[in-house]
Order: sequence, then C-alpha cells, then structure tokens
Amino acid sequence: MTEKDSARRSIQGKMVDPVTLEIVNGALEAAILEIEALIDRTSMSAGIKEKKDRFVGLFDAKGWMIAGHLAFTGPGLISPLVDEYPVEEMKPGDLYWFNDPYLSKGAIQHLGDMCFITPVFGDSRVIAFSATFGHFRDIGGARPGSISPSATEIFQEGTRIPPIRVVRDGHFNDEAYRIVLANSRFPRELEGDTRAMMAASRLGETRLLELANRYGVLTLTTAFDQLITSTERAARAKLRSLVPEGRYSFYDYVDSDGLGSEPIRVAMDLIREGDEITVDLTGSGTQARGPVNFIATKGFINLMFGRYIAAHDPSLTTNEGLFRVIDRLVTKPGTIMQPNFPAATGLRSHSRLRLSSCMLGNLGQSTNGNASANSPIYEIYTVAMGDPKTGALDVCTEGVGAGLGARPWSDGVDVIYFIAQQNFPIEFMEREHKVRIEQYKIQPDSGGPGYFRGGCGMVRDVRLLERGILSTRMDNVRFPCWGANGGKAGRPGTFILNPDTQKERKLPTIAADIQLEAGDLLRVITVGGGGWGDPFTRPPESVLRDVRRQFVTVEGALEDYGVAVNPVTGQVDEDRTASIRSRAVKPVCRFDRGVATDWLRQRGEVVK
Amino acid sequence: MSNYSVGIDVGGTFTDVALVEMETGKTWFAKVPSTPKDPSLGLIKGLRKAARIAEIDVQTIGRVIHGTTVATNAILESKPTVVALVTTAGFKSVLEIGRHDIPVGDNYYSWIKPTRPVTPDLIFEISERVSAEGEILVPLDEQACRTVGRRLAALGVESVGVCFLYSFLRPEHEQRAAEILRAECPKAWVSISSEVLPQYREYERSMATVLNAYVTPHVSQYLGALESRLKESNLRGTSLFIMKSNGGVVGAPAAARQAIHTALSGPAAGVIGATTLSNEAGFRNVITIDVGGTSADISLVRDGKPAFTSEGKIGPFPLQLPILDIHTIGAGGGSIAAVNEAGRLTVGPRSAGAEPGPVCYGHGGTTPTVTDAHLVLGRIPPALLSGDIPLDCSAAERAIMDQIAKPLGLSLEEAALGVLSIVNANMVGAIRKVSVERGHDPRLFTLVAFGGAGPLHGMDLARLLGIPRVVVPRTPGVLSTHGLLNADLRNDFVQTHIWEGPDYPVAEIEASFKELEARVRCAPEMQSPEWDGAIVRRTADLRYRGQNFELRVDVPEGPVTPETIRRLLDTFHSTHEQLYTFRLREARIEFVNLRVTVMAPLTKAKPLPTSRQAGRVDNAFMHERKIYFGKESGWVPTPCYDRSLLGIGTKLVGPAVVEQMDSTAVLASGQHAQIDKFGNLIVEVEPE
Repeated sequence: MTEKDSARRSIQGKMVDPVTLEIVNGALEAAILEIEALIDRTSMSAGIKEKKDRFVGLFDAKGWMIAGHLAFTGPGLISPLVDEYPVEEMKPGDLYWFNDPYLSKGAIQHLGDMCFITPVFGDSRVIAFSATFGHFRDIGGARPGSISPSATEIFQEGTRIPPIRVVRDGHFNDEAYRIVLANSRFPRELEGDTRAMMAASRLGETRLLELANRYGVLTLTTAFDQLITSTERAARAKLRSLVPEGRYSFYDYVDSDGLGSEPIRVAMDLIREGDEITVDLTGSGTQARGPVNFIATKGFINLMFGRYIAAHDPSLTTNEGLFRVIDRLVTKPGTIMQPNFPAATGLRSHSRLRLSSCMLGNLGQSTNGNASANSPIYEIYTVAMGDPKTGALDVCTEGVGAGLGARPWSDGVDVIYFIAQQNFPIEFMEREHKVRIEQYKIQPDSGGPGYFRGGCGMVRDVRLLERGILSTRMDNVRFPCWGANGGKAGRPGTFILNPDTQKERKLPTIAADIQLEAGDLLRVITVGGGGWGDPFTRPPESVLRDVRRQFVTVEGALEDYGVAVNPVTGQVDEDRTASIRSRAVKPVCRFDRGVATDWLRQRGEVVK
Repeated sequence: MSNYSVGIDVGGTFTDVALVEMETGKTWFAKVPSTPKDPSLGLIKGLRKAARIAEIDVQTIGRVIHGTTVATNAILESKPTVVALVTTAGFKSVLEIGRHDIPVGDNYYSWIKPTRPVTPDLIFEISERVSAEGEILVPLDEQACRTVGRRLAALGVESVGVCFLYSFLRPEHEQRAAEILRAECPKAWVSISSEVLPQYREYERSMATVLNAYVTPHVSQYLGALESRLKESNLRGTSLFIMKSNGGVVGAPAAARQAIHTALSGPAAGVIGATTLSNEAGFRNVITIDVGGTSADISLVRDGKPAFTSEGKIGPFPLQLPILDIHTIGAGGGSIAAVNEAGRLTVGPRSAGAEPGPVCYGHGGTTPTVTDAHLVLGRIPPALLSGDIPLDCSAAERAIMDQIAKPLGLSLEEAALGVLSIVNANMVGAIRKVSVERGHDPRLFTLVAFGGAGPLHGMDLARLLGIPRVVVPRTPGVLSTHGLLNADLRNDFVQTHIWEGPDYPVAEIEASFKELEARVRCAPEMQSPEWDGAIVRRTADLRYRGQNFELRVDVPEGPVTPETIRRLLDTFHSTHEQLYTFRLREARIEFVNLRVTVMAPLTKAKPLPTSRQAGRVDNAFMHERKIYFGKESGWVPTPCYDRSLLGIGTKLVGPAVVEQMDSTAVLASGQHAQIDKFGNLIVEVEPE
C-alpha cells in the first residue's frame, strides 16, 4: 500500500489517518531545521550567523502557522502581505519582502527584522507560504546599527519596506533591491543576508511542493488543519487548567524610555469567564517618546502564553493551535502597548519582556505560586568606531547574556541570551573589531536568592583600541527581576567605564552617544533572574556547591541564604547555620520587587 | 608474517568478531554478549570463540583491529573522573557559559543546562595573553603554573586540559604550561588545545580539549588492560590497532594519546565496512544505513569515498574534530511506539534498549517497539539467532492492540504497520539530511542496508526515496568487522590561517602547508614504522568573507600556485551553489583553515575467490509464513529462505523473506533480487 492510496482512502472521511499525519508533521519539522541551517551557513550579519536572531515559519493558505520553532514572532506574518497583494494575483516564482511594524500591524516588531515570503502553489492555487526572517545589522537610519535608544520616530530607525514583490514570476526586481542596499551602511553584508534569506524562503517552497506531490494537496492541507486542531485542543485545555475562573492583575515597569524618562508602567489583567480568556492591557502607561513602544497583537499575546504552555507539555507541536489559547485582547491607543504611528519601536523588547513578567505574575497567582520567577531582557552595547587607516566605519554590536528566573522545580539558567541566540567568540570579536576582551565570567550573587536560585548574570570587560561612540541598552536595573513565592529579586546590572581607576564612571544603562577614548575599558555587568521559594530553606549543601563553583560568594551565602561557610575549611558551619536560620523571619510577600520596593511603596502601589 | 587478522567491534549488546586468513581471505565470524563493565573480557571471549570456530591457534593472530565505545560511553554515562581545566586569566567561565544559548527546539521556560565535563571549582586561571594577531601581550606566569600543578596533585586530578586564547596561533604557552604541569602533577594526563583542535572559537576548542582530557584516562586504562589481556591470552606477537572517528586506524599507543578521536569508533567501522563492500561490488555512490537496537547511523559515500564533517556533537556538546559525516537518529528495533497526550502516534527516540527490550523478548518490556510491530506482522521469525531466542508474539500483539490500535481506533495490523511507516519516515528524513540537504539526489545512489535490523527496513526506505537498488551484505549483522579488517592508517591535522582575497599570499600559503606537514612528520603519533610511505593530502576550509561556516575544498596536488588558488575558488563557488542554491560573485573569499590528511595502507587479506556456480532458490527454501504487507494484499503466504544456502547467482522474486542468524530481509511483492559474486543480496526496487 502506498502513502497516496492510504491517504486518499482516509481523506474520503475528511480525516488524514494518524500515520500520514505524523509523517507530514515530521517532514515539516525536518524542513524547518534544514532552512534554519541554510540561513546559519550563508548569512553575514553577525546577529544572524553567530547570534541566530532569525525565524523560519511555514504557513497555510489562510496564513496560519503550520510549523516553526518558537521565536518571538510568527503569528500574523502573512496577513499584511495578502492585504497588499490579493492571493489570486500571486504567481509561482513570486517572492515578497517587508519589514515595517505599522504596515504589518505589529506582526513585525521593529524595522531591523526583514521578512521574506514565498507563496507555494498546488493544483494552480496558493496552498501555503514559506517565510524567513532575520535581524539585519544596518538598514540605514539615524545611527550606525539602525537601532538606537535615542530614536523618537520610526523614520530614524532605518528604511521602511512595505510589502513589496521583490521577485515576480521568477524575475528579480533589481531596482527596488538597489534602493534598499543604497540605504545601508554595509551594503555588501546586506546583500549576503538578503540572498541567504531568499534562498531559505525558496527552500521552504521546494520542501512543501515535494510534500504536496507525495500526498496530494487535499491530504496535505487536511493534515495542516488536523495538526493545528490537535495542538489547539490540548493547549487550550492546558491553559485553562492553570487559570481558574476569575480576574488576576499584575504590573511591572520599564526602567526608562532611553531618553531619560520616568519608569513606564506595563499592566495586564488576565480574565477568565467560562471557557473564554481575555487579556486586558489598558492599564499600561502612555506611549513613550523613546523607542521602547511595543505594538501588542493578539497573535503575540497568544505566542507568549503558548510558549509557556509548551514548556509544560513537550508533546505539543508548535503551530497556530498554540496561538489560540487567549480569546480576546484589549488595548488602548496611545499607550506603550498600542503606540500611535510614527512612534519608534526599536527597543520594543524592553516593554515586551515586561509583558511576559505580567504573564508570569498572573499565572503565579492563578496557580497559587506554581509559576516561574521573572527573567530579564537581554543586554546589548554598540560601539561605532572608525578604522584610522581606511576611515571605514566599524559597528561593533554585542548582545550579552543574563540570568533567567528560577522555576518551581529548578534553579534558573545562568547567562542566557534570550531564547536560542549565541554569543560571539572572543577570538571572533577581536579579529572583527578594534576591541580586546579582558574578562568574561559569571557574576556571583547576581541570581535572585531562593529555594531555587535565579540564574546569574555575567561580567564582560571590553577594552577599546580606537575611540568610538557607545550606546548602552539594559533594563531590569530600577525594576529588577522579581522573585516568587518567598524567593528574592535578581540583582541589577550596570555599565562601568574604567573600573578601579581614577577615571571610573558609572554609565547610564540605556543611552546613546557616549564618547569613548582609545584605551577605555567598558565593564558590562548583567542582571540575574528572580529566585523561587524561601532562600533560607535551600539545602546548605546546594548553597555550598554554589560557593565552590563561584555562583555565590561566602558573604552572599551568609546574607542571602543564612548559610555560614568557613572560608578556611571550605565547609558549612552547621551549628551557626542552624542558629541563623532559626532566627530568620519567613517571607510574607508572594513577589519580591527587590530594589524597586521603596519606589513602588512611595507611589502607593500595592506590593503583593 | 602472521597468518591471521581479527576485527572486533564491541557494541552495546554484542561483541562481533571476524577472523580472516590473510593468504586465502577465508573468514570466520563469532558473536558473543558484550561485557560493559570491562569490555575487554567479552572481547577476549569473542576472539577465542572465533579461533575455536576457525580451528586455529590464537598465537598465529598477527593483528587485532578494534572498534570501541569506551570514549563515548565515558561521556554519555558521565563516568566519575576528576578532570581540571587550566585557562587564560579572566576567562574561567568560557566553558560554563558556552555560547550562552538554549538549543533550538528546547523551551526557554523548561530547559536545564547540561553539567560540563569540568565544573568551575576545577578550572584554574593562569596569567598569559596572546593577541588576535599572535603577539604575546602577557608572558606565561610559570610560577603560577607550578602552583596550579601542585594544587592539581593535591586534589587528585586524573586528567587536565589546557586551553589558552589564540593558542592555535601561538602554541608555546600551552606547551610550556603542559611541561610544568606534567612535572608538578606527574600522575595526571595533560591535553593541550593546540594539539587537540588548533582552530579558532575558544568555547568549542576548550570543549574538545576537556572532552579529550575526560576520556583519556578511560581509554588509556582500557587499552592498557586490553594489551595485557591479549598477552595473557598468548597473543604476544599481536599488534593492536584502534578505529577512529575519521574511519582510519592507529596503533593503540597513538589512540591513547588522541583518545577523543575514538568517540565514533564503532559507527565509523560500519561506514568503512559498507564503503569497502560497495566499492568491491562496483557501486561507487552509496548511502549506508546501519540499523541497530536503539539507533540508526546514516552516511553518504561519493566516488567511493565517505563524507567528512567537522561539526559533530557528542551528547549535548560540540565536537569539531574531523570525523566521518554520520547522521544518527533514535530509530531502531527497540524504539518505543506510543500515543501522546495530543492523541498522536510517535515512534522513538526513546528506546527499550537491550534491557528490558521489546515486549516480545519477555524480559519485562511492556511498551511496544518496532521489533514487536515486525513480529506481529510476521516479518521476523518467531525465534531469533537461529532459534536461540524464542519470541512471545501474543504479548507483542496485546501491547500494540491496547496501547496503539485501540486509542487510535485502528486494527491491530494497521497499528503495527503504522508504527513501521513512522519509523521508516524518520529514517527517510535522516537519509534526506545526508543527501538532498547536501545537494545530492538519492535516486542516483544505491542503499547499503546493514546492522541487525537494516535489511528489514532497507527495501521500504529505497521505495520511499526512489533509490533503485539495495545491497544487503552477506553478513549484515557484523559488517563493522569488515570495515575494521579493511581500514587504513589515517591521521588528520588542522591549522587556522585566515587570508582574504582578492590578492592571496600564494607563497605564504604554500609555506604554511609545508609547516603543517613538518608538524605532522614530528607528531608523536606518527613515529611508528607503519607510517613509512604515507600519502599526504591537502584540503582547505573556505567561506565568503562575512559568513560563519566554511566549506572544505580539495587542494590540487603539487605546490600552491596562482593557478591552484583559482581552481580552489572555482570549486568553492560551485560547491556553495550546489549546497545552498546560490553563489556570490562579488563577495570576497576567505581561507579559514588548512588541513592535512596522512594515510598509510595496511596489508589486507587476499580476496576470497568467487564461485561461478549458479544456485537454485529451491535449495534454500525453509518454509512458508504469513506476512501482512498492507490492506489490499492482506496476509500473504510468503516463502522463507535460508541465506546460507542461497548460492552465488541465485535469483529470487518477492514476496520473500531471507533469514540468517542475526538478520532478516523482507522483499515486497514483485521485487527482484540476485546474489552477486561476493555473496551480497542485490535487490532492485521500483519507486512507488
């Protein structure tokens, strides 16, 4: 019996048999991995090739995602395209391109993310789309690297590309392409990246065509529907098991907008009535002058909750079904969650991460404490330097990892850059840029103390070999990652210039246009994740292991955990530990806001 | 001149032995259970058994060539070993932080970072620093090295890795530090990164170095024990060779010095076995698939040569040594079939392993496996290993019925067939990975299906992929030993050098190759007489300036000239286009690594004279068994043949089953097959 026979027979009953379904699912997953590998091998922006700031998704004709790895994008990527170019007018061999957050209704979050989409044809109609997406290093704009904390309008953040057809019927639109290249400070690199992305998007088309050929269009599209439905059913049930009927509220603050503003509030109400769940963000603050605005979409909110649920059920396949767990999103125009055009959105992850903070805080309440502590946003610094010999511009942008929040069943992970993005090897940095890295290590005591410890941040010392202009980017300094269920908040990070010298200076954690001299040393210290559970109940042997491995200092063990470690013998002083711990007061707050507590109290905020 | 050579592959479940008479090519096989606690026990037992079957005196065995899993198991089972790392001051967290990522496909909220082979309390910093240009910025603090050495001795460290920044440009600091550490801590093994992997990217180089440090005590202790056991067993004059991950062999002392190079010893032996056999049989482009109990190993051979990669992994860790490009997936006879929470049928990667094994083995396994599905459909005989292991078919039926068929609303046969379809689809995906995804069309290849379960799946895989032909080797269950007996000596060396076009320093490139070749000649592992007359081959890793991955390109023979460079660049452009569908004519091309491969042939046994007598299929007929091939055909009475009685030239037509001691091949209706002059079963497969 061949696959086609088997599939044809079962399709008469409007269902694809479970075996074909699983095989289609496996083939989709394999295609995603293959497309990602092509991008990694051929792209040129360091942010894509080393850091892997990219996304690959396969979508059905309705624009629903049928396969992809969980990134922070995906839902809604197809709809801006089909609004501009009706599906009926598309032809095989077409390829489309866009990057604008407003024209894509928030499916793209900031201009640096370039999206390439190929429609896939079967039986003479569009049956699917293959999308690739990567964050390019420089697409023009006011400052090198395009993204800057000082941007106040999206026009300053690079070239806006509305959905355009860059390839028509197999013919490449060189004219439009050259306009985009001409607007980049690094056109050759941009060309390498676009070629990689387009080849990758086409590869998705090839793989989907092979599947359509093998199983027939009807079977394949029916399989897409079934995969989505099966995930949807399981994912909805999972979220509802975590959220009993009722209304839950949580808030957090973005440190600043990049132009020195006061903290900006992000607030989320999570409301369950019957089977319906609503997310309400209307309590969030006014839109920012700086670039920390985020266009919240129902798709993104679903993606965020979906990711959390998928962590609890590895059998869930990633597809549109995960994005159907929240039924309604309410936002208010003019707020940081629904900014009015042309507000800048380059640093949207600062407010986006506070949204996940609110999700975790609400789930912590709805599950009676059985959710993770908070994790920080990643940290980035950019130095624009000139090569003294050639005068060529060099933009060194480096993302550095921070500690993640502790889970109700495990310590947080140390030094992670967001989801699946890699650091730059020192032996790469020093060859590519006029810098020398002098230290790279775990920052002890930075992880929020807890029965489960928050992940630690790190220290990176960067010596400039030429003068340059620095921009810094760090959040969770005024509002650190809160601890949960008696766990303490993670420790804030900082940028220090020339530490331990006469010229030592603390730099603003989010700012542009800082002048640096050749020989200056920039020290980046990143933040730690929140702890979970009372640290004074953490087993002393776990604390000792952390001391030996230098995640916690001897002083930190004593103060944060009530564990006395004898620095000479390297052993736990058990009597002293028992006596300190017996006198300790039990934590009363479910959420520890750390250094932000006083500010919040003064403002009359309820600190739970 | 000794009369006999022995190839011994120690796997997780069985130890396979092939003993060959060098003058005649006559070969005897033995299979004994492996002894994981001390693999040398099973090895000696197998060796004696083979000698007994061949009726020879073990003293006449001149050479033992061995495939081992000691290194891999040490890492995968985290065997307790006190390993330390010494590194440049300021950078002790490089190993701990890694690439600061969560693996793709793992979830941000649930991932747990794997514990490194060296924990931070055993990482020591030494003041020294070399720049990106290779200048010494800070000299090595020798006093600090001595202090660390004494500390390592006090801590009872068994093995230590040394990895300094840019040691691939300036190895002196590592070499000097190693001398001091050896003097201060004489009991510990010392591995230095400039020898293990002189390539840029400090995390990956550190990891390769500590993995080498980690496995060295295990491998060298094992090889030491093995050599003395061989002596005790009267094999005094025997020389012991070890298969490495690159498909070549080296003498045991050299293997102990480059222990991590044995990480893929076993799978590499299989690929070399399949390559040798298919070259002999006249097939130069083949895909090899070795299906065992827990996994399937897949590789691609082009123009008679297996493919290489330097982007391997061992467990969760990167291992960027040059190794045979073998893609392994968790799909084998023991792979577990289950219906998950979302109501979907999955097979593998979880495996029932050797213990408890499939339900039908009756060793306490309760979850249905691929082997159970084969049994339920009649595809394997009701007893394995020529009747030694009886199988419980009704238990397998119950497990598939209750755990798969009922929850999915399928019949027993549909459920069992579904399990096979899914495991086949997983293998098809893996074969596509080494073929389609590397720009090769599988329809132009021949499939070599081996390992105990390979011949059960090979014909279905070929049909699904449009591969026209399957080779089922004469002894599919012990093909790895064939590889061991036919391997050559091989060492690979690499050195990072970065040059950017368009004006390449031709003379400097030639000089750097020469320097690398000189290093090869002086390397301690090259100092034995077998290496006399070795062949040296040059390759280079190139990429478009700005890219992060290199492609390996063969360097034409002779000294490097502008013409050599032109040809290299042309090959690079066309390889890039073949792999990734485009080339960048305007982009500059960058050299990243130079590589040198040294090979020396080992003497092989004379080939067995081939018989011309045509066999008759009736002679091999054993009995008929009902097999379920699909809904249309239902249960089909199928003739079963004894492989050992199928003579050269015998033709047969499916449906048919060909059984032998440790393997079963299933031919679907209408498939034609013939035994070739080497005893291989060649099956012609029509695409679906």
